[in-house]
Amino acid sequence: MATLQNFDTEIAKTREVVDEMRSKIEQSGTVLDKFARTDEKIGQADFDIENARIQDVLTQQKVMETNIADLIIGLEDATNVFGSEFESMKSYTGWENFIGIFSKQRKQRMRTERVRNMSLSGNLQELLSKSDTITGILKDQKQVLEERYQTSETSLAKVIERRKTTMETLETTQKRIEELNPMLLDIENKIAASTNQKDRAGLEGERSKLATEYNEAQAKEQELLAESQTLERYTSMFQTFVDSLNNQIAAQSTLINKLTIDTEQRIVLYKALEDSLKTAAQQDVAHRINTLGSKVDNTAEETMAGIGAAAQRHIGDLLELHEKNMVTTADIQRRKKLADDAFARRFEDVMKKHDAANYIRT
Amino acid sequence: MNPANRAADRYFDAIASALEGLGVYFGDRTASPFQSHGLVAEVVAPYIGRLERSFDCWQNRLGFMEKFRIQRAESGYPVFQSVLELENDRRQAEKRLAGISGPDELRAEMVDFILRHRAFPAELQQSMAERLYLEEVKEGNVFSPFILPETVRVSVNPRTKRPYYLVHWGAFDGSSSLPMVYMAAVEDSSPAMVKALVSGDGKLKKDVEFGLPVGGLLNPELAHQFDDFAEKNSAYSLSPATIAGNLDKDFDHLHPKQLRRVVLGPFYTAGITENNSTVSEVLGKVRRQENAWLLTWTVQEVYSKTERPARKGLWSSQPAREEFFIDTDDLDAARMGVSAFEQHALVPHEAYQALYAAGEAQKIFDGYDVHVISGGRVITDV
Repeated sequence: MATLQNFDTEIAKTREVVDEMRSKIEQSGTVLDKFARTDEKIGQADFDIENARIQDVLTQQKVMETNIADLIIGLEDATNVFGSEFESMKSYTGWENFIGIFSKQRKQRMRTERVRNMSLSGNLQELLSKSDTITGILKDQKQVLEERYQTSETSLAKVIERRKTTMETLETTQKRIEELNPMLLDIENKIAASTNQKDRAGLEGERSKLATEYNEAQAKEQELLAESQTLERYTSMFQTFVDSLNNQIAAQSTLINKLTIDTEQRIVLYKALEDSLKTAAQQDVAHRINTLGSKVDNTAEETMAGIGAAAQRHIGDLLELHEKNMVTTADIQRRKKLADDAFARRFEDVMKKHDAANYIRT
Repeated sequence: MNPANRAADRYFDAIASALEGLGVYFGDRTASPFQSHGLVAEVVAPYIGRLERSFDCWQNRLGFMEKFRIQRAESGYPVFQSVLELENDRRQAEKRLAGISGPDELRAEMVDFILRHRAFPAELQQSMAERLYLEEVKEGNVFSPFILPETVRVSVNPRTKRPYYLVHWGAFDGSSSLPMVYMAAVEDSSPAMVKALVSGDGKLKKDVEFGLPVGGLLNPELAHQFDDFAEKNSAYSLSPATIAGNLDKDFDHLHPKQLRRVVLGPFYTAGITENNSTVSEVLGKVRRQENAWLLTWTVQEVYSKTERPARKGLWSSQPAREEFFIDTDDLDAARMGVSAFEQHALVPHEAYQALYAAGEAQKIFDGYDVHVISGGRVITDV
């Protein structure tokens, strides 16, 4: 199974991309958390850097998901090669057909031999281990994402809370400014109206105090406005980040789901196919053994009658077995369809590209 | 604890007591009336041990994985994927164990976690479960999809003056999810082995040293080929006659004289597996849930009645071929492609008593040898 072996490098590559991605998410996440927690002011430059980094994470994430989706489709194609192997089991090879010109029996025998000596266990084991590895990567990633999502969401809530407090302070400051304005005018009027030197000096002092407060309030208003704007930008940045995390988690779930169900289905399907082919091949073998092993004797007539009954019962058993088998298969089919649909919705582009590029050569 | 977990626990408890009963039956040979089955018991017992360990592993695995699937119809054993997963984990155990901290460390962390967070250390418990599972599975004595052949007896057939081996191997059938044990008695006519093992008067040479059991077929030239053959010809859907016939055909110098197949199943548990009406009837009469199970197993056997001697001609030659006996008087035997077969059932005492009281035991277990398990002992032939 050369095609499956090639997958190891692909898987290793994907793992690298995922690890890189993870460290990036960690980085952004911690920085964002710091924003949310501390009261320290963040300069425009820092903010821009961080924003750029988040944008980078978003694009990277797309790349990574496409990568994994590609990997999963590739695995599907590679295992479909088993299917074509089975097809070849049903028909005769060129050499067998050539032999068939001379001896039909020999041709049949050769094919029977071929079917008999086929074994899928190694391939299935390989398939399972590959899909397990990929699922492992995906599950780890999903866990990291979920943890990050949790903390980022709390951080987001914190930032929103912080913005709310800032807005409240801003409002009180603005209210104070509006109060101070008439007060100042009032005092100025009083100063103009006053003739007493001593009163004037007192009023003058009061005015300057009010003026200082007014100026301070105005400065604070500017500052708070700036902070509120920054926080607003944080909020939107966070929102993007959290949304992206959420999106990624959903994507991981789709991928895990598809991979799990695919593997499950393939193991059941291929094992059943192998079995049915081998059993079909055995029937002529078994028949020959019977004719060879059992000489005609006095029980022959009875046996013939009995075989009819036994055969009927056997068919009954088979039908029953088939029915139960169908139920299991139908259940798997149903779940597979759901997983496939979800996968197709999310990764339509990848599938298109994939179909066009003929990723795995069979 | 959710219902799914309870069901899983019940399943594991049931299969554990069933396998224990089976172990007692095969292990305690004095209790078994089938004295001739001494050898069968000796061969099968280690496989039952493997099955028990497999189930232990699966139970531990459930501690950190979210699902475990069994085939509910027909077999009652875990699906083939679970067996493959076990094998897969066995291969990776070393690597994965390196990533988990040691048991003492984990315990210390758990205590630390409990004291510090005043919460249940679920995650650490999962790591612990994973660790225990990997350690267990690493030992390797689980029931793999295929267990390599082993030679357990060697003697010489005085009539043919050929060495005679008893080889056994195990397989878990993927489509029907059933564990099986194969035992083959094979005569070897390859000149080298005859020369090495047989003395002039047709006895086993006394001075040849080989420590039994030997891994693989005793004949070193054919051992690998034989392993390969066993792996490819162990499906449940193949009849024993077919397998013996194939063995005869594939190896010119090996002459299978007898092939036995022990199918260790199906296994039924009330409420978990889907059974036909007979089995449901049996299990429905049991009051206590933990006693509501039934394990059946089948021993199939095909033996050779004559051997057509090899023919050497100028243009064509034909190696010696066996003629296997198929009991055509017994329709079931004919259908299975065997010379003889036995069906056994193991039931808990309570279940059997209920059936016996209703006077139905005879009818339900028609054609089965019934073994009743009671208090860790197995009573046969009731």
